[in-house]
Amino acid sequence: MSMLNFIFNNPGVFWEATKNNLQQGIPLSLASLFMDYQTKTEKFSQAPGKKLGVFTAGMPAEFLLAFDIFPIFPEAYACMCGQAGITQHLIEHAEGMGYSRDLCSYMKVNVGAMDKKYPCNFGGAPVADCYIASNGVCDTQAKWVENTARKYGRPYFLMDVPSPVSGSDDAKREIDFEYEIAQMHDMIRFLEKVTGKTFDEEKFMGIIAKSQEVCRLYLEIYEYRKRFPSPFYFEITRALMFPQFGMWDLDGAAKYYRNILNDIKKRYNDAPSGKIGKPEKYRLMWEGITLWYNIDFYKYLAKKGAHVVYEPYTHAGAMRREKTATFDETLRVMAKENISNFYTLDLEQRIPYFEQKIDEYSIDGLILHANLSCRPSSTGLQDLKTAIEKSVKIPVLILNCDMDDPRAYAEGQIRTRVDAFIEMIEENKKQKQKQILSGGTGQWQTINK
Amino acid sequence: MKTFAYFDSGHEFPEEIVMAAGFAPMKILGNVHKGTAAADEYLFPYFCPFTRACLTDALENSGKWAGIGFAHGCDATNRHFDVWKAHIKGVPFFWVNTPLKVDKAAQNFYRKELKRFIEKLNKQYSIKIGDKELKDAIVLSNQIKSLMRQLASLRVKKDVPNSDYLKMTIKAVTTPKELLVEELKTMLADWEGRGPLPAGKTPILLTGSDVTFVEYMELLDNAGFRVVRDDLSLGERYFATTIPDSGDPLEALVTYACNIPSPATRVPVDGRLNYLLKALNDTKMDAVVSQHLKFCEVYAIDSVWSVAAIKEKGYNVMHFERDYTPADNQLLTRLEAFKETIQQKGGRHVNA
Repeated sequence: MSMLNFIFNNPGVFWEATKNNLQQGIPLSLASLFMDYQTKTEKFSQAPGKKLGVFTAGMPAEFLLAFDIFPIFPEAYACMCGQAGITQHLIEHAEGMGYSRDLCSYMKVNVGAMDKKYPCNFGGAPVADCYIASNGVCDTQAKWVENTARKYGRPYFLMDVPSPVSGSDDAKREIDFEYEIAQMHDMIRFLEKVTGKTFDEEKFMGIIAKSQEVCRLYLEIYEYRKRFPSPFYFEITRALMFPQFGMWDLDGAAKYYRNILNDIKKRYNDAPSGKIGKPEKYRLMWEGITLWYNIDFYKYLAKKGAHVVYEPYTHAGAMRREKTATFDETLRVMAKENISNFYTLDLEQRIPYFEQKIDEYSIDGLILHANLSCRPSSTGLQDLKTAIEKSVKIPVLILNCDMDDPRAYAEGQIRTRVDAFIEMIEENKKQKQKQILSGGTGQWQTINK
Repeated sequence: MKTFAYFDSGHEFPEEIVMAAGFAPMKILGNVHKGTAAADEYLFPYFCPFTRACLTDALENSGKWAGIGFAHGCDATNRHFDVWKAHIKGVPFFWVNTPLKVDKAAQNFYRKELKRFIEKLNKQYSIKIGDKELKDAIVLSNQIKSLMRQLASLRVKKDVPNSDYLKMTIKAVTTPKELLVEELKTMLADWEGRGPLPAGKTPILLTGSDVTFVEYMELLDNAGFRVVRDDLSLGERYFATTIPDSGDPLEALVTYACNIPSPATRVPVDGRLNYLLKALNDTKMDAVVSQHLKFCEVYAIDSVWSVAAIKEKGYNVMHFERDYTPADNQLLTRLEAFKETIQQKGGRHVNA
């Protein structure tokens, strides 16, 4: 459906989305990158000869790029829909198609929007030439993409990611890496069949080098989030991650992150510390996916002086962390990065990881999002809470909500719990301060960097 | 013989290796009649209730077990492993990452996983699992599967209540295998001597999430349905195929894992549907009850497509989400309505 047709047929949805998008506070430069993605998606979906490929989080999309396949990342469209506050009717539409209420809201937004033939700016995605998915994050992503490929009769490739579980040793990890690498070779053959092209290793390595540079720049921004105040909070980073995650324009993404970094460096390295800005009263860490539909939640936290300065969710997506020189080395590192991603860490690794990040980012309180439509990311949260409260001694709040389904958000209850949480942080800070004054270290965290 | 318990959301766990190690493998099935408060301390209420029942079972009974094995079946098995390991003390844990694919790469991976599992068992219990032990276990396992196939084939001819069938399949995964053969033989003689499938019972194929408690099967009987085919893990998936009994036993287990009827988690994606359509065609019936347990994501998602694909072939299909509860009269009403619909359409109705 063309945009004009869409607006004509759905003026209410368009108005709601426009109104909500304007409230997000996303910089114009970033918004224009999203528009570029949407425009290219629409354009390429109609361009004769141009191939489109759907991929999921955790899939090495660089392979699509190596075959000149334009990468479609439906999860991103579902997120944008969430920001635009228009997910509920799409979720209900998918439920009308037979998808259960308890299933992933990202999937239902996308399935609903595709069935309603919405453009990608409103959750839809064009029918692609191939579908590649991974179960590395969850089974749902694989099943979601599989169902879409089935529906439209398109080829489907699954990357079966071995599950990292507590107690895995190096020998086990080696077996997992080899399986991943073998599947990457299979995927190359799959894409060769889809495109009729031969895989060009040199071209692939060029793309990988760009991808590594994008990740390097992106991750450097996170170093500045350790500073007081942080240059970005979760409300922005949840959008900031998409240029590196979506991979539709690696050059554009690198340019964008470089510009941001230059601005940040100027601000943080050149200005006297007092001039940078007012430090956060309470620095928070967030585990799990954001509440896409509810910018007001973060504004409410901000009103209380609390800001989310670190979240593994947005940090984990930048997977090309290690420079590589050869093709074989690259595949091996990609396999490692794919399996040992810190968004899907096993519990025994997850706890020390959190302890480390709480220290690095000087965190006063931790919010764990028990996400009703994402059981994998919610597993182990109770144990994580107990461990962090015991070892790091900061307040931890478990919030039961949903990432994209506003029906699961109960404002009154949640605000009451947030109020109590902030009070606990305040009290905890006071106690620690007292301890410092009485000669103890009082702090688990490094002092203002 | 000591019990070695395993948590498996499908039929993924290689029981034969545990048998070769000298243990009696036992599938953890939870108890639908007990609350899951113990597990709910660590797992949220919106997680699969069956898996919470399994953890509750393990927290209560793990002291009687020599070890706990996990096979990768769905997100619940791989994610819950950590939680189990954190809270169940004094029992060694083993993880077997069954692949979701059946191609060459997956077979190579699985072969290594099985080898690793054997090495871990050898080390943990100071034993040496050799080819002979594995081959013996395979022979015994095949004998059991063969008896189960014979028993299951009687469903379409004899009066075998649904609950009797489930009790048989539960027995197969919870009883020491040496004792099982005689029990199954006795059962076979009993079932063969039974009267024909009662008049008025509509034969159905049951598919979807695994059914783990007999009350649910009784409910289907009460609604006038006889499950004569299925693709459940506590069902045909467990015994439909035979493990190759010649050559390298490890290779045989890999081949077997690739040939069992496909669950919703696996690719190739049409594997599950093909098995269902073949079962419907072979058994000449026209009704399917498809269901998924609340929060069972893979079957819930797969059902949207599979139910439509089966309907498209002209079969009567009912799909619903069910709770983890032994009594569900609302569901009975819906099943009765489905039966009436089939009757009105002139569907096959044994002896009627």
